[in-house]
Amino acid sequence: MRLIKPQYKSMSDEELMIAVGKGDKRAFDEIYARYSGPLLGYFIRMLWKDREKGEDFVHDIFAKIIRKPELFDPTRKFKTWIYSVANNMCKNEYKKQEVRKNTSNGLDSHYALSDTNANVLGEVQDNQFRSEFEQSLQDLDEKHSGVFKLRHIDGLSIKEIADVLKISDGTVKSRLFYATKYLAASLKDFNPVMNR
Amino acid sequence: MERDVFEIVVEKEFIALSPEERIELKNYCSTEEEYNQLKQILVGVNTMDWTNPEPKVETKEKLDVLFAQTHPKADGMWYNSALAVIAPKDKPIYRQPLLQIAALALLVFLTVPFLQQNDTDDSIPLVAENSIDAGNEDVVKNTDVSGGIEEKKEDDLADTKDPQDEVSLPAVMTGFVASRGISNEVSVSAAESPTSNHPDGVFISEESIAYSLPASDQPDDVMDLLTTSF
Repeated sequence: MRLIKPQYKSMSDEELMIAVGKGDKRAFDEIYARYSGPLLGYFIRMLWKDREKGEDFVHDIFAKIIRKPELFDPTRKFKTWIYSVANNMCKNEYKKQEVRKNTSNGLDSHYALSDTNANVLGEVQDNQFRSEFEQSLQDLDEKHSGVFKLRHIDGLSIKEIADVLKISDGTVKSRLFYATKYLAASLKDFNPVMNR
Repeated sequence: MERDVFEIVVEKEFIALSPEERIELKNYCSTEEEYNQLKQILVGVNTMDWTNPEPKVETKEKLDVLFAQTHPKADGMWYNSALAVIAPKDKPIYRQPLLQIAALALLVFLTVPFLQQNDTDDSIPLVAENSIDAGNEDVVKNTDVSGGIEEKKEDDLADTKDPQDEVSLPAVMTGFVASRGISNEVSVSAAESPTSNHPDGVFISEESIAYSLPASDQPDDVMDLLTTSF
């Protein structure tokens, strides 16, 4: 019994996680409201635009929080912790897909899916740029594209990315510049800045 | 918060870069053309709408069920809520109301008897102490006599119950009188002496000796008895 109701909206992620560990349902709802959307977007981007898989992964990551909230170390930042868990889930999925690819008949459903998206987009110039950009990002190797997505799409800082991926700040910067240069070379025919 | 190098690229033109920023960017893009290519990509990414999709309602419902299974609610017994208030688990033991109340009760339990003891000590009359100090049964008799006088006086002067009217002999005097075997006469004569100003009716002044015996009846060796103390 509490005399004063906790203000979940104003609580930090770390405080909410401590409350979740004690079985506070409202704290869990608040965490879900804050991170379910960004994590779904992250999973969809990282897992070949497969929304169903993204939904499954969102369910799995929050199920982990419910079953084992003690896995989170309150001295760490929750945002970097949850993204590092999400990143590890994606890595595991890449490994699974690699095994399947080697045992399949050579057809890769993910490339077919992205090609479909590329055909849908195209008439408006921004959309063209976007589709080309997404295609180029997908062609980029995972370690560079992953860092680029975390920085420019998910909005994490260089330090947070370093914490998520457990690499140095310098490595993060280096990978980011490599990815940006690669995208610039791939999209040299587009100039969204000049067209505005 | 310090801006990172990518924010600088988005915000500034190449010619507007400070020497420090140029040094930082030197490892990644050396020419203005490379810089502008990077800027073009980063501005393009920033202008794109990256609104995150909302998860399905079914996903949340499944998680709610899982949460209810993992964290079943505690029984609605009254002592659960009472214990949660007086002994919350999330507080250190010294901040729990249960321990604080117990500590206060212990403090009161240990303090109150001492206060009461002090009150009773003040009520004991000094006469009794003096009588015991004499260590003689006769002396006790004398004090009893004085007590008898008190009773008599109470009877006679029932309407004037003034504790200052009580008459008693100082310890030295009672000891002396007892040794001489002249108890009642002396005490009665003492009773005729002036009243004491002491709240317990005790005579402390040396003048009481003068009232106890006439000078003619004074023993010869009384001065010896008195001077031994000097």
